[in-house]
Parts: sequence; C-alpha cells; structure tokens
Amino acid sequence: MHNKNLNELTIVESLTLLKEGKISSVELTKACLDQIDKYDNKIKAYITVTRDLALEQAQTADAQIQQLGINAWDSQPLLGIPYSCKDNFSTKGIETTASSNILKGYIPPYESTVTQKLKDAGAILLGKTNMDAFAHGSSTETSDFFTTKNPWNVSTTPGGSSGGTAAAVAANMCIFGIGSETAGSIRGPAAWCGITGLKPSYGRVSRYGVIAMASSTDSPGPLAKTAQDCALIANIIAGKDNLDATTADSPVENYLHSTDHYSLKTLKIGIPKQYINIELEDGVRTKIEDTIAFLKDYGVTFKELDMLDTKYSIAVYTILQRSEVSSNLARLDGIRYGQTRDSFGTEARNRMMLGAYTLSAGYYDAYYAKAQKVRTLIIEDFAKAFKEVDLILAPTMPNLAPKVGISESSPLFGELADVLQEPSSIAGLPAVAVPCGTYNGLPVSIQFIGPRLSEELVLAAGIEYQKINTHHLNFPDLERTTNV
Amino acid sequence: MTQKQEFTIEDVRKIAQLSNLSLTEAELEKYAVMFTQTLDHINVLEELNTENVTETYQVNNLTNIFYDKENTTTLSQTEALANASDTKDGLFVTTGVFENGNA
Repeated sequence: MHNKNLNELTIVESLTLLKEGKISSVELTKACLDQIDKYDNKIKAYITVTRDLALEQAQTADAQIQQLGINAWDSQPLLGIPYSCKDNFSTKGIETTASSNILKGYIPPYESTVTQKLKDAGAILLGKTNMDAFAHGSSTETSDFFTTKNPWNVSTTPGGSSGGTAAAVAANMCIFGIGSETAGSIRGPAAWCGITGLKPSYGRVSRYGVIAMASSTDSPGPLAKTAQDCALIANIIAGKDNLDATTADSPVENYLHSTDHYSLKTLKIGIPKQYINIELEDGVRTKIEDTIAFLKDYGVTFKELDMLDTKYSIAVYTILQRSEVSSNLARLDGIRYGQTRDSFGTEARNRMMLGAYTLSAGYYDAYYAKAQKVRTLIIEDFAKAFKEVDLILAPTMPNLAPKVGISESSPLFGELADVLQEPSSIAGLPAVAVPCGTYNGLPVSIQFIGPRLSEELVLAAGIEYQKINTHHLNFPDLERTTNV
Repeated sequence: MTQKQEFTIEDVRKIAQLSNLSLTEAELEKYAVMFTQTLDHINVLEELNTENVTETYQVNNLTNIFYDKENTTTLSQTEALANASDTKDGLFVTTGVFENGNA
C-alpha cells in the first residue's frame, strides 16, 4: 500500500495507516477532495461536494484519535474514513435531490438510517452522487442534471442507477461509496466500473430515509474497492430498524469473519443455464468462461441449474416497479417540499403512468396481481435451486459498459440490461458482484447469489475470490482515460 | 389480454389524469408508443399458469410489525414547514382541489 496515493486506499488499508498514526483523517479526506477537484469535471460523479463539512468532520476524527488512540475505533469502526453517498439518501441539512428537478433545493429535515449509522461509526461524508432520477434507469442518463461518465472510458456509461457512486469509487474520489439497488442498481454499476458491490437481502438494511423507488425491493448497500470493505460496511449498516418495519429481525453476523465459516472449495456452486445461454457480449462470455475454469482449477464444484426463463423476471419487475413508483411518487405535490409535478422528467412520467395503468380497476388482476403470483414462482424456483447448491454464480451484466446515449434506444433499456439481477432482486436475495477481468479496457464482473439473509456466505465467496486473483486491484488510469 | 394491445392517445390522456400529470399532445403520442412496447414485454407472463399460486407482496413474510416504544421523536413545526412552497400562520398553504374540474 506504500506506493498508493491516499485516495486509492481501501477502508482496511486506510484504517491500518490511521491506527499506526502514519496518516491523518484530514490527509485522507483532502486526498479524496483533491482527486474530485482534479477529475470530477470529466467524470461528473458528484452532485454536491460537502467539502467544508468533510474537513471539519476529519479534524474532529483526528482529535478523537489523538485523545483516545487505538481505542477510538472501538465504538466508531469507520472513524476518519471518507465516503460518497448516492443522492437518494436523506441527509439532514444537506440538499438531497435523487437527481430530480422536482426535489431540487430540498433540504431533508431528518437523516436516513444508513447515513446515521455511518455517521455514528465515524465515517465522513464527502458528498452526494449522481444517479438516474429517482433511480429509474441503469446509466445515470435519466438524471435531470447530467450524465456520469465511466472512469474506464469516458465515452461509456458507468451504469446505474448508483452510477455516480460507482464512478466515484472507481476514480478513487472516495474510499468507499453507498448506493441502493431495486434490481441491478448496485451490481450493474459496480460491474461496469470494475469495483465490488454488495446487494443485501431485502430487509437486511433499513430503507428509512431513502427516497423510495419500488418499496418491495429497494435495498441499500455498499460499493467499494474490495469485498472485504463491503463486509466491513455491511457490519455497520445491516440490522433491524424500528423506523423500517420491513427490516429483518435476524441477527447480523460479523461479515469480516465470514471466510472463517465458508470456503469456496467446500461449496457447491450452481450456474443456471438461463443466465449463460443468453446473448452475452463476446468479451463477457470469454471472461466468464475463464473465471469458471479458474475456479474449477481452484477446486470449486459446479453444477448446471435449470431455472425459470429470465424474461419472466423482466416482466414481473417492470410491472411491480412501475406500480410501486406510481404510488411512491404520487406524494410529491410541491406543497410540503419539492417543486410542482410539471418538473418530473420523461422517465418518471413514463413509470408513474404505466404504474397507474397496471394498478387501475380492470387491469389490477391481469398485471399487478399476476406479477405477484409469478414472484412466488420465482422465489420457489430459487428455493429449489438452493436445495441443490449453496450459491449461484452468473455474469453480473450481459455486456460491457455501452456508449453514453444507449438508454435512449429503448424504453426498457434498464430492464433488459439488468436481466441477470432481476430474478434475485424480485426474490429479495443477497449477491456480491466482483470484477473478473477486463476486455478491451472495460471491466467484466461475476456475481455470487445466495439464499435470503446469506450475506455472510456471499461475502465469504467474494472475499475468498479476491484472495486468489488480482482483478479487483485494477483501476483506470484517469490521466489517460479523461484526456480523450 | 391475449391479443396485442395498443395504447391510444386517449388511453394515455386518462392515465396522465390519474397520475396528476399534464402532457402535451406530442408527449401523449410518444408515451402511447412507449407503453405499447412495454406491454409487449410484460404480456409474456400469460405463458405461466398461476391458477393455484398465491401472491407474494413482501418477501420477508413479516406481518403486523409494531413500534415497541411509546414516545418517538418527530419533526418540529418549523422543520416540517422548512421546505414548503408557501406557508401561513405556521401551516402549509395547499392548492384548491375543487376548482380544477377533476374533483
């Protein structure tokens, strides 16, 4: 880690140096802010940079470290670590827009549970990152403000909806990031930006204070430089929350110790043929086949699975998502907060109206109720699979990061791009997406999907996978990629 | 539902009203095309037999969750009004609902 710039450090590396007194939180925070100054005019990851607040918090962290020494981390495990946060998490006193014009200028009077927990753990907020407006998309192109660029190649999209966070992590403009996934919004941008993302089980991480997209699948989670960092963040943000009645009551394991309990060599991993025998871009197929061969050599046992066609998940997700969006965005009336409904962008209007249709009298049974029944079939399909295997491995995205402008080509761009994530999202399952190489200078990713609340298992798989290869250590050369 | 559905401009006008959105004629046409394309994708669900299948509205099967404390912190009146477009005497000023013909 000695040859790394401070902003390039992982959480674990940063904590080691902070604990050894070799760096200060102010130095670490300044390094991230300097990187933002240097490159964010090209990448456009951040909507708001909370520079003064971040430096102030870093000074406070350094004072606590000075006073308490190594004990400072006992109650604040992320003390002094700067992070970026997707702009759909309510941050008290800091503008929160979900990248929408209708929420432009909105200053939340309360804090989301996730950001509160991170604050309590001593993490330092660097700013709020760009996303598809209200998370409606997989490219950040539906942001009402601007499009974020992929740090690996600025003519391509970082993915979305947590594209700003993913780009900020990949461009080392933070130590870690926070995003949210409804179906693909953490794993997709993590894949295209060559970083690691954890999509927790539905209900494992509180949704309180997260601007709702589809309430029955929204799952906040970390985007980071390693699976180990994701485990460390999950330790902080997971758990029952009285402010979100859908959070699971089951205990939170210490995810950092997950590899003590599981080993890839003793797990049976399923590969659904429906996730492989689809149109995978050549580079993706090559890397996935290489990865499977690599893991077989390592000693992993694989089994082919026959599961439901993913086209049903696209349909279920499309119906549920639009229905829930129409209900969630109905509350924005411009009276209590936000602008008037004329400010909604094209994509939000599209989704609200289609949702109003699928929920309306005469169509409810044909669409919404039907989709919820098929969701039951999808859950049963996974339950059957997990009787045969411990984990599922699949490509995270079927293609490499496409050119900016791709989302204009289809009203279902996101739904089709996220096809390999929709089934597990609908079923509320956890998954870890990890880089497995690059092709033509763009990252490729695999995901490990586990049964509900098996965060420990999927993180163990991700952590061990990163112990046996170096793909996660590759970061884009911004000097080159942003000078085109 | 078995035959191909086409959204008409009138269909879109109706759901725009349900969604409390005003659209231009050009937008109505655009959304009619988009919705027709989207329905093509979602109609594949008809291929699956769900006759004896129950709906899953929520994946973690929790029911009747109650808050276990009596007193909770709430926003102060000032905080609650801080983002309002218009306030009067410490209250939100709302728009009338009877004048717009939709009531």
